[in-house]
Amino acid sequence: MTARTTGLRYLSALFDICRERNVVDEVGDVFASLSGAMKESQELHDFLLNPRINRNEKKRVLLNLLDGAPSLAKDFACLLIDKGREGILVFAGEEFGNLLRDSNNIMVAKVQAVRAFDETLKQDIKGRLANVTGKNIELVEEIKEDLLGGVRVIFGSKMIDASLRSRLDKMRRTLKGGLA
Amino acid sequence: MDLRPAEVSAIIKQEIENYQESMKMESVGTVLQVGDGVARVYGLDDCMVSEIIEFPNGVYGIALNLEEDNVGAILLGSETLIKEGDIVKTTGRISSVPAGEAMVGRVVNALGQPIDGKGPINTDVFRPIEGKAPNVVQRQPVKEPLQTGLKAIDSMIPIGRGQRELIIGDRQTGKTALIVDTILNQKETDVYCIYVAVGQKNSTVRDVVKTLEEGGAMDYTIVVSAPASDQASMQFIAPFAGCAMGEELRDNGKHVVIFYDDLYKHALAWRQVSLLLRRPPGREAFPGDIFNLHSRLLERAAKLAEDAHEQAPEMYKAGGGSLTALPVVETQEGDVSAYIPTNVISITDGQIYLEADLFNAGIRPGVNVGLSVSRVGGAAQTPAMKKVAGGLRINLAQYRELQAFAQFGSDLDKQTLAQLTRGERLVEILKQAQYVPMVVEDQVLVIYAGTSGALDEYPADRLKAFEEDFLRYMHDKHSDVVEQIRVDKKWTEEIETAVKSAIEEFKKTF
Repeated sequence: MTARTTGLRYLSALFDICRERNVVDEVGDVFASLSGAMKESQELHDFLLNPRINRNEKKRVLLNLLDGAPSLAKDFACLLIDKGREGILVFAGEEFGNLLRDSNNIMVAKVQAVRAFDETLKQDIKGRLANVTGKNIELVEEIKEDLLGGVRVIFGSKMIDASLRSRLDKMRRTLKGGLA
Repeated sequence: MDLRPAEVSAIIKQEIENYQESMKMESVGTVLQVGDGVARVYGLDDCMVSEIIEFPNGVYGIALNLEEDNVGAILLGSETLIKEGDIVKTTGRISSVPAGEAMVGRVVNALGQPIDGKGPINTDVFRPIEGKAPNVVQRQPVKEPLQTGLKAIDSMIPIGRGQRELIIGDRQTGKTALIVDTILNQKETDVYCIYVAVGQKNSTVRDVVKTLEEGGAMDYTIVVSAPASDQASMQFIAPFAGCAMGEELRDNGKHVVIFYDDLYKHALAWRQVSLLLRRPPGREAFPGDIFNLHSRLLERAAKLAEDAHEQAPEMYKAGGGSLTALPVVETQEGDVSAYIPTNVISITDGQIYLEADLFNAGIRPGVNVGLSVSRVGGAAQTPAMKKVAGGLRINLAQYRELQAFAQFGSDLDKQTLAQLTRGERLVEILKQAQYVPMVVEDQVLVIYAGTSGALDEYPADRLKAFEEDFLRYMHDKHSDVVEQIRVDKKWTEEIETAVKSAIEEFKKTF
């Protein structure tokens, strides 16, 4: 958790500079693909995070990888290596995306259901959530069979649980007379 | 019992039909880490401190640490039912326990759930376990006595209703025995008793409950049990749960005495929980708020003002109620200057110090009169007792000093010898067997016989018989005098003369 907290400080600083220089999208793309690559290739991940590998070596590889990227992105990656904070690169793409969404007043809502939705239903959910939260909603669908039916929406640390599973659970507990 | 399956399913059907549930937005988080009775939860943005949070499978927890990116909680159920990534919900409720008169006569766990196999408790009164102590104007000074039924305590270390008196001593010095005697002695009074067992052996609790049942004392007693086999979190909340039950009775104008047995183990449980939640350790690895933990618990003991319910009608249903707290602290090797004992000594209004040496020498209860004190109880002592026991403490103190001195030489003057004899007799009459609490008028008579010197001529080993026969004699032949002491609670000159002549009369037959 602490790595993430520190990472957020670095990334929000980067985000501010990007906004000043108007390169938010480009830099965001770079880190999204870099984080993605680190997730896909265990070798790259291990190479960058291995403390026994020389920093200059890491920088050389990274700069090769990021050839053609904005200089800000390159500088930031090198800074992280100098500071021994390579771990931040793992989630940099994800967190940078979150910062971008926050600044554009977009919220990700995870919608879990037993089967996929059709487009009208999706728009409906989006509209309603937008009303509740006052934010633009980006829906992420997830198929979850064990809900049995209904839908469960999670956004931020809020949840609207209208699934059959939770209602059955609750009913079972009420009938059994659980602890108050 | 006649059970018809059709009826049962009809009832369940009805329950299901009447079952209503409104869908609402819930605040959720996910479990990051779970183990050792604590969990760390990510999310739960609007969680409150000491709020009940709900884990899957019906396990509940109490949020104690609200940190920048996670919430630390203690679990009140089995941690084996929880895994990483599980969804946790807030409930918007502060931890509370059932309370009210329906609890009386029951044995419950730290959550107020019955564990005595006598069925559910029918009460709809719930009370937060952390309560606000009455403020200055809602209290009044201690003025009514709380009789323990033990001569050594009621005469020299009197306890008043609303007082906090610590019972301190090594293991096996009769701390729990003193509690049981005190509970048994409340039988004819209007005092409710709450016995909170923290970190005790299940068998010990069982024994206490059995003794109380046999003595008919469970009719006015609640037992809250968080034995050593319970999680530290349960042991931590048990005293607070018991206190909440006591407060409910107190605020309805009743008199309650609560025993915390014992706060040393409670401190250990809180230390465990605190360290697991990564709170910084202090002296002896106890957390910094260990003093506050005990003082906020014991501050809730109070004698309410008669008009408390007019001052704060939202808090009190009736005035004049009291909650007396008798916490127990077990010392290690007689070390009263350890961390927890000194803390609790400084919080309470006095202490009863039980000594292993005295106990083993046959002086039971093994109260060390020199180190025991009651700072406020004197105001509540029965006037008759105050009068006859006035010189008792100083007499015993002189006796102890002379006793040490007399060991060196045999050439003692008459006065010293007289003081030694008197002291020896006084120590003897203060001895009392277990489970036989004595009413205050009998105590007054026996102590008067001792302090007036009437017993000096008898050898110490005959005094027990003297006491028994004398009391029987007084009840048979002079019941009017006994009755007068009981009702008026005063010690007048005429009573003194009457008792004096009665003693002389009795001595002729003894």
